[in-house]
Amino acid sequence: MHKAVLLDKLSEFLMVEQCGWQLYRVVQSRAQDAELRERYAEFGAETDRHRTILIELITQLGGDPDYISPTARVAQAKSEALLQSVLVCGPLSDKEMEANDLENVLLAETKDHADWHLLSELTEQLPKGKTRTALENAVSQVEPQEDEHLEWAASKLAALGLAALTTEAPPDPLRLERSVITPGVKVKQVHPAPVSLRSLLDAAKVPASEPAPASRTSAM
Amino acid sequence: MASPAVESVTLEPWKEPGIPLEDQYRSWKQRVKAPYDKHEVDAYTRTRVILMNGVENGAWNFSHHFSRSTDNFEIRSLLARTRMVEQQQQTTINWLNPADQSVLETTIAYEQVAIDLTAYFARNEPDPFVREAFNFGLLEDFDHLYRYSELLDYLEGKDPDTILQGRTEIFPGRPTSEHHNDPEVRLLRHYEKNRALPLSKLHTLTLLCGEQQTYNFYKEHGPEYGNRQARELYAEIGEVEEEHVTFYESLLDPTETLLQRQVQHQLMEVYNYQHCYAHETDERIRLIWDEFLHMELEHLQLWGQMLLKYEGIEPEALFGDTLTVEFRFQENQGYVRKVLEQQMDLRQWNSEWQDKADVSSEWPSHRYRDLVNADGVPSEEIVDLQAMRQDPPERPGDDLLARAREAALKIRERG
Repeated sequence: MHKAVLLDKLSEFLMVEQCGWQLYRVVQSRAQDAELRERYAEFGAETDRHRTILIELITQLGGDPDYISPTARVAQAKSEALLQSVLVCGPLSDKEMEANDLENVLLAETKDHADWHLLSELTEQLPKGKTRTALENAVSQVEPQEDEHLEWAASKLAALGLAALTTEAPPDPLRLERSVITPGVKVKQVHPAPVSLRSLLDAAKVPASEPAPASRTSAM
Repeated sequence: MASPAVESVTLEPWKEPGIPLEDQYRSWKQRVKAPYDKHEVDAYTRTRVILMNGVENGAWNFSHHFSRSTDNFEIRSLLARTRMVEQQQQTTINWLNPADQSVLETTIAYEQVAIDLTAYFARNEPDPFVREAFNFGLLEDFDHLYRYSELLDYLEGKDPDTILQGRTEIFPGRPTSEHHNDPEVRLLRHYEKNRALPLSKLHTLTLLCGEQQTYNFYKEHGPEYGNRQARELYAEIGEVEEEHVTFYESLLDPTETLLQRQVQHQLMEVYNYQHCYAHETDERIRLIWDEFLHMELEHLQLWGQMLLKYEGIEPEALFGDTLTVEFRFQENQGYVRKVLEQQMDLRQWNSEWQDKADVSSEWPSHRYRDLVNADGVPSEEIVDLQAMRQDPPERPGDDLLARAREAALKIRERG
């Protein structure tokens, strides 16, 4: 086993837990559904505990928990991008926001689950010794909880999706129109003398040396 | 809060009470204040005015960039509201410059800011790589001061030391003719956001804002001169400032999110207003720094709350519970001399520095330099023009400039 690679991976996995904990804090603070709030609080606390377990594991293996590997940086950037997604794209209805937050949890937990599954597989291949014992101890505490996090996120997201498709009132169809411009409709509605694309092009063809049309409307 | 003339101050920036945001807007009459007297003002009061104008413009610029990149109304709203205050502050500060201070006189002061800010930061920068980047930039701004001093004497017959007041030396540094690089050459390795100390981030962002402002100033005012020599010198040094912006911004970790960067900008403003307040000798202007410091504390805390809300992280975790401010504008002549002796011949390539004697013929800047310097170099021509003048030294300062000129000509001969 390449110990340096393992320590790089553990740094990455620690970053995933750190960012997961931040994600749970954010989504818990804005969830309106009681089950979501409760589960986020519970899983956030467990994720916090996973962070501690990884710090202890890295220390036991002779690593430095403050070390941040190159792949940890990528994991951090990806996790932060999950949270940035709703800052860049808007607006969403409250229900859509809630579903998007849960989808981010699912994506984060998928990665988290894969990390611990890898550690579990590695543990089985290692000879008996201190490293195997340390990994076994960590995996036995964390892996069942990761299974639960992932399964819950997937099933809850499916439930939210089904409810949105069948029983819930659909979101306001104009929610996007309130933040973006759609000239074809809006300008005609609000402009006293709407300008067609054709008349704009005609006016633009007039040589600069000639008198300009008196107004856009007269050129139509 | 600090009182004047203290050596360093430690703030709790996330707790220190500020001025509520709704009380921060000012009337036209309140925001435009009487300018300082250019004959009476302390050199470092003037540098503080120039620096804080750059810091405010930097914050304003970034706020717009952020606003163009987000669709979150709460964030856009807070950006718009805090940005309106930033631009009012910028007006107050920049309008402190008097109308009878010529563009060239102000230019001399801009270079004094660059030298004494960069030198102090380099002396106190905890990251060795970042420190060397600062030292490298320092020697270039040091040379710009000399070239502009020649232009001031040539065009306006003024002694640059009336601006510098003996605090900053006029002497050639690494010759400006050699600051022109293939653009890619200026790119450096960046700091790692999780590992870099907050002080390194504050130093870098402050310098970046200063250089960006200097670029804007030279590009805006260079064409206002009718004299061809002045127009060309501003064009030449203006391009070096573009290289400096590229240089310093390449130190920033690109994985810092917009919200993290916004908090960093606000913290950087607090840092800089704090030292302005602590060391300002003009009581009237000190009150402005005090007021603006308390405005920025409010901005910082509001943005810290946004970081917690949208990224789930307390700003203290990124930037520390406390902020210690040690910076002050002060003389750095001995330090600059030392760096000049050791590093004048360094050149940059592949994020490293090497002696010019060791630079490969493949260095891309050779080609770029040959191209831009092909028809003459304004920063050298001003030295020749001045050397051709036969005027005997008449005024205080003439001998200093003559000594610097002699050194510049020797450096050129040495090659």
